[in-house]
Amino acid sequence: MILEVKNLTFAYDKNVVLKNLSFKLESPVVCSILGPNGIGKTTLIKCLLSIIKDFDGEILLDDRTIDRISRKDFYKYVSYVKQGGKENSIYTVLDTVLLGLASGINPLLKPKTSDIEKAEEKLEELHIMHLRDKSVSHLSGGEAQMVYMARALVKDPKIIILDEPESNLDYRNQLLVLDIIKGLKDKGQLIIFNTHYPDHALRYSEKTLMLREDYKYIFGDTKEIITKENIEDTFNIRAAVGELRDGNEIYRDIIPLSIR
Amino acid sequence: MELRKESGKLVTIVLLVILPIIVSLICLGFGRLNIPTSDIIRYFMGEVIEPRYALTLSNIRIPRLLSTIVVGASLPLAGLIFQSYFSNPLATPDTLGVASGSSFGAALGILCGLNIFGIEFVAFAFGIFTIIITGITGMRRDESKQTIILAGIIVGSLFQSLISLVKFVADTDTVLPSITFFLMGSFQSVGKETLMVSIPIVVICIAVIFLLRWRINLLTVDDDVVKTLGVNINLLRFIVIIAATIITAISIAMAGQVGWVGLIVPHFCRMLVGENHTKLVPFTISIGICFMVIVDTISRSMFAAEIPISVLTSMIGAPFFIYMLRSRNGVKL
Repeated sequence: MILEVKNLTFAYDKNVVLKNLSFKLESPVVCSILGPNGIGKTTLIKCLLSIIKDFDGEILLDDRTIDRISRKDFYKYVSYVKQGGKENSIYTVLDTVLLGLASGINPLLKPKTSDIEKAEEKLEELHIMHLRDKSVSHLSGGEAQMVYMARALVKDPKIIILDEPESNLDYRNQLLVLDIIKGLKDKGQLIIFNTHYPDHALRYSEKTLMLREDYKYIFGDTKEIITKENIEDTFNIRAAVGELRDGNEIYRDIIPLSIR
Repeated sequence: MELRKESGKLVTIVLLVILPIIVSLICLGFGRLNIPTSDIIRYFMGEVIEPRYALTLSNIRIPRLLSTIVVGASLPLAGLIFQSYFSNPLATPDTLGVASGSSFGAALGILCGLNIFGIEFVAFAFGIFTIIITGITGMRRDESKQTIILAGIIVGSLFQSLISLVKFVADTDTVLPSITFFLMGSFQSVGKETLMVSIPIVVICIAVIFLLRWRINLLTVDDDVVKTLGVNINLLRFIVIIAATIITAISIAMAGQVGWVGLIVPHFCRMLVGENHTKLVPFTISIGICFMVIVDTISRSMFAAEIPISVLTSMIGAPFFIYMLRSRNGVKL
């Protein structure tokens, strides 16, 4: 699938958030979005998801503008995971994941056995089958995030958009989430995620969109976008780049040093 | 294991249907004239029983039982829907002001001398009007859960004062007593024509909610996320809120404001079966009916004079609610 954004402009009332933003992604790919707080990362994601509809410019899915695609079809392809810790499901894990299949379930009926099997398959895949009948409200932050990922993935979407999926999680749970993202890309899907961790973007995404002040942005291959200079300019800090070696692998990381 | 689960399910369904029937049959017997349950069963089988029993049943007890069942199914179910709709455990017809709004509508209808259909319609219209005002006032962007209840209390007290105004202008000899009597809440005066109009509408609304019960789970899902699930959530919201307001208005037009049932029955059912509406809806209907029928039986047969139903429901409701607030798996605010 090809997702293309052309001259996207959006304002809350008269407060312009995004202006003339354009980029293009083709699956399979992972694209990370970086930028300071309040720069419009979540707003951009909501535009891509068509949660916000009154933007100017165009968003195209395989060369079709998304407002021409029926809601039902659009959300068959596109899935959303909200920022970690921002949601509160009151149902059991299985019931929560089943809600991800709602558009395919007859409004007057309960989920069929095949729906339940599909949901259970997803639980197995994300290694949370043992939580099946627990209430999500009793789970840890990491476990709950897995449940919301499962709900987003259970309909086998082609595009998955995640808002800071690894926020508020410990190291192990961060890696679990990021590995799922990598696995999705290997299966041919298109993933977009907001993040505050440049090292996650470097390790897991091929493309990066960096949003800056005054509606400026840079978009391109992650390695060329996430550099010391770009990070310093975007976040208005001083930073240092380091390389870490683990066996034969070399990992790049960027460490913030001081406020500029 | 699978088989046991299936048979357990069957037992639950049978129990939910049978329990209200048994409770009703037993409760029909109580009152100034005690009728043996065996005679009641024989009456329903079409056999001839003592004439004074038959007359009491057909003219007094059965119409009253039917109105109790309508209210017992409606108010708790409406409470459940409002709680899910506003994601707020305190939302009920009372706390959202809908009960006051509908009462005002009904009082206005009585003042204007409308027939029962007219009274119910005006009650419904003001119920909808109230929920819209409360919704607009209370649903702010900061998503604070208290705001909606605060708005409900304000809107409710506005309508309470409007009710006082209606009473003030009402004719003190003819209209005022019937408004006052109606507002106190009682199943005593429910006439057959009221039932003929109300029961079909209530049955349709409850059937709609019952059929949509799995779908209703979507109401509590995060606003942004639910938009991306590919369902027409606004249509669902519209249908269930209209249905819940209609059954609230009809209950109130029928029996006045019966407090507390909309709050405690759904929460009691949550403690029994959890949050999934697939189970919660049938449990709320069934247990709501049993509760209301038993409470009404106590209210009319405990003492020589009838105790107002709201007195009893709040005497049971308030302590029970305190217990639920304190208990570990009870209401979370």
